Amino acid sequence: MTGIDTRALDRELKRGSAELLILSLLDARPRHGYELSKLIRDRSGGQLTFHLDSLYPLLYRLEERGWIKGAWVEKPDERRRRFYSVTAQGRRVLAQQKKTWDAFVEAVRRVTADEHA
Amino acid sequence: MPDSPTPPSAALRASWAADVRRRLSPLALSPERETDIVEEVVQHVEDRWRDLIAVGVPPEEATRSALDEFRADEVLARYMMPLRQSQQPAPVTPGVPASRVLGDLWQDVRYALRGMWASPVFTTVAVLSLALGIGGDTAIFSVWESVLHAPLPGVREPQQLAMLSDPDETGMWNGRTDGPRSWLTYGEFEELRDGVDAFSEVMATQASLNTWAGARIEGGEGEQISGRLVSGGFFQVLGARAAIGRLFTPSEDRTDAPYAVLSHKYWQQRFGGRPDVVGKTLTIARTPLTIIGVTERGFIGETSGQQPDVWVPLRMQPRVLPGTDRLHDTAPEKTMWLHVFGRLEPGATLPQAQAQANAIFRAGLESFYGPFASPERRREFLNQRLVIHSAARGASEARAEFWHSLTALLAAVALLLLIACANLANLLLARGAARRGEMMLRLALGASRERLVRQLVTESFVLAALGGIAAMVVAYGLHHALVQMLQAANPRFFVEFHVTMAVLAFALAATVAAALAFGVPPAWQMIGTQAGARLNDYSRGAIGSLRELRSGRWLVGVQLALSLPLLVAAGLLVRTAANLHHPDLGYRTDRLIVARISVNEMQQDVTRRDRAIWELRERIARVPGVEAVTFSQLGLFSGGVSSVTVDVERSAPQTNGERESALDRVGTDYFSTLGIPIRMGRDISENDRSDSPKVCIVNDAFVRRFFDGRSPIGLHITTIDDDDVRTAFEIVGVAADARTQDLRDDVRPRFFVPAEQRRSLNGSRIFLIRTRFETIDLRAAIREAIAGIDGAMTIAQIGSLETRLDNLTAEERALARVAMVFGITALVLASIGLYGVLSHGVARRTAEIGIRLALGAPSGRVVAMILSETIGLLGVGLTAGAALAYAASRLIASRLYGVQPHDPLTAVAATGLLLTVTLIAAYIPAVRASKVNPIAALRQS
Repeated sequence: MTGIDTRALDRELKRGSAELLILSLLDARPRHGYELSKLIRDRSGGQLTFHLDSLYPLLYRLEERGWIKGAWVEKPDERRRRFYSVTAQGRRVLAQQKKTWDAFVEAVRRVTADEHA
Repeated sequence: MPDSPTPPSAALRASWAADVRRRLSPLALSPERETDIVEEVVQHVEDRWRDLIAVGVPPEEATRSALDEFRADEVLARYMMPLRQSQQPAPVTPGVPASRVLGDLWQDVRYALRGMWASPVFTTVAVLSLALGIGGDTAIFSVWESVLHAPLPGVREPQQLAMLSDPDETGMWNGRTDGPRSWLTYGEFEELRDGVDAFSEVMATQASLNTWAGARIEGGEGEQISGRLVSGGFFQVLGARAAIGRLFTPSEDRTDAPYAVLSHKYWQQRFGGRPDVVGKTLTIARTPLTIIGVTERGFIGETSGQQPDVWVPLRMQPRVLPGTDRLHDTAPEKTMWLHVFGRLEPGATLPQAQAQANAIFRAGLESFYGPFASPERRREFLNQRLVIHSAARGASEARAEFWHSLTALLAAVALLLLIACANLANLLLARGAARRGEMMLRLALGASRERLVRQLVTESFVLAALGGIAAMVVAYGLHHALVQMLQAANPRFFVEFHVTMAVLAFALAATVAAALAFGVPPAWQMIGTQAGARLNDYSRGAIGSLRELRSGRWLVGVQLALSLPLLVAAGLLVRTAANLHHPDLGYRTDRLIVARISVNEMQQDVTRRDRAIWELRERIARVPGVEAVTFSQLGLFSGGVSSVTVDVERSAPQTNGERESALDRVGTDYFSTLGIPIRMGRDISENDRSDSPKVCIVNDAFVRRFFDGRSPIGLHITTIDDDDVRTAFEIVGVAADARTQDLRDDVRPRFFVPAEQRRSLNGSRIFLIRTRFETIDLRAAIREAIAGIDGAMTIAQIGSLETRLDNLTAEERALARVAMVFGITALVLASIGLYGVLSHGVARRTAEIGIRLALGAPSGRVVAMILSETIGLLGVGLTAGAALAYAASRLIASRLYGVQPHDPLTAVAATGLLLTVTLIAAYIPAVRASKVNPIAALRQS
């Protein structure tokens, strides 16, 4: 993916897709905040970044809704970290959001498809 | 996550935390929640930082970049605002930064109270020791302030009052004085009352308090009542008001006024506050007085520290104090017995008033002594003057008497409070160690050090406040005990416990000082804590504990230093009390009765009086159980003084002031009855009567002063009275020095004349009776003897010399008791402190000790190691303490008897006691250290 004008995407699409991104990353396995932010940046090749001051409010919002659950985990010789995992309700929401997103992408693709067939 | 070899510094993490907190501050987050968020976000920043370092980014740049993940300051708060958690109120969690200072304070107070509730034993011990220390200080300060500093209670505008006599003098003087006047005569008062413009009003009071033994109320049983004679303007000058009835007015000075005014306290105690007391008759010395009113509550008169029951007009003196007329003087003798007070006119100054008063006074002296033309004598007579004093604090007998004792007590209790605070500080340090983990975690999470220090100091203040409140209760009780102790020395002394502004301010200051004294060391510890040190390091008892151990040791050193002066002072006072118990007076003090017989009513008839006295002496001598009887004008330790100008034949030339000698008029066998050795010549005998050649006996001090040690037998002493009458007495004997009036000062030169060979104005004779057995009650026998001789004689007072000496020394003995209690308490506190610190230190160093033992060190070596550290501590403490002890012994020097302030024996004993007790306190933990099981010790760490 190259050349996406992320400023435009930022305001409109990120709002809609942010929750989807988080939920789907957590669906794979529990992660902590930095890991989420790093994964998003790395996998998007730096195109999608979450600022700190939007990432954590988002996580807390999802937690308040009950879609994810946070827990402190302590490992020997390490500071404790807060790991988030998706809940059953979160999984249902994720499935729904994925379907919606897929349908949307598909619809846009169909509308903007080349007219020269 | 890549493992970074160098983690970010604690300071860096703290700065990140501060940054996050700042961004969160607009939200109403609970402290717990905020801590969690801060921790999580800072972890994120740190991870980012590590990643940047790992790929080779320079640290400064990494630091900057890590924070780039934030946008503008208010963004985080704005995004978090809609969340439910942002609306919650803050529960109590101290140590977490919050933006409201007062909110912090209230949190800390509640947290402190919870903590105290959780450790009841510690809290009780702490509050009790604070209450005792602060309460004791407050009680003593209250008495000190009332006696020494407070203005007269119940008096209008006390600053406008002035005295023309000496506020510290009590009593009276017959004859003549020179220099500044202690008291004034009635005639002088009348002149001043009418003539000093700078005063709007002038009044006079008797300069001592009377105790009438046989007063009757409405003809009932005889009771004891204390009272004072005062002029008609007394109440007006002081601005006192009546509670019921009326008070004296200046018209009471113009005619005979057989009235009495009661004090509020006496009215409540004796009459239950009933209003029908006005109009009742009070009979004193067979003179009926009508009670016309009662003063307001709280009014005690013009003398601080005394509360008379009743006031009687001055003009009634000849009737209520029969036997003398103090209202009229016959030249050249004056009866000086009054204090004179004036209220300054607005705008008038003390120097103005003094000048006017002295002008009138001198004029009065000139007209009084005028007829005595001898210029030399005139110069002597006119060498008197009035010195004006501010009288806001009134006259006070107690002031000079108790100043030293009270100040010394105040210092002692302050020391004790400091020692108790040192113990508390040590206790708090030990508790602080247990909370060290909690504190360090908070520091690591970004709580500011200042915030934690504030929390600790708040805890100290809460504890001190509890102690301070309890202290007021303690102060009330201790005040009562203190006044009783002082009353043993001076039965007329009385102050009530008033919580004045000064007392409250003092209690508050003492509480704050205590809070700082024991709160600062643990808080100071906190400042030095390394937030970055790993928690594991700490639990092994390394760096942090050593520092804390040093503080604890320092405090114990202070305690030892403060205990030494208390012990030395206690030792000196105990020795004083022991010496006073059996003072060496120069004669035997056991089985000696002192009886004051009043012959007032026979005063004018000299022949009748002398015969009655002689007859009484004979009868007493015949009472079974009486070994010997004599009499003396001054008695023993009666507080009486008598002196006269003398011309001594063939004596070394003396300056004018040294031509005075003390004298006493005594009866037959005076010296043998008392047991004073006669060095040369003879005792007073029966043959020395009014018509025989005039003789006298002198004491050793007299011989030393006037004869340089030569034998004076056969030489003459000529007395020169104020009317220039000269009388010569031949010296027929020399007696050894004896203390008859004063326990402390050197024996004065004195000569003794037979009673009948020199006239006296005194209305009583003091009989000195030596009995064979301890338990004779002579009162009945004497009363019987008197009844058979002349009904005009009465027993004014009777008691044993030992009882009188006990009363004289009551204050010293009470001081000694108190000092002993203080000294022992200080010792116990200091030992507890030392024991606590050393035990704690041993517990902390268990690993080190275990290693030493495991490596084969003999257990004795371990004991010696602990003890040697103690010795070092003792050395420092004792050195500082020695300086304090020096100052303390100087403070109490005036109260000592028979022992020097820097008495080496006492100092050594006190030091030895301190050493012994502290070494025992150190020995126990030292032995425990040596018994440490090395394996267990090593495993524990």
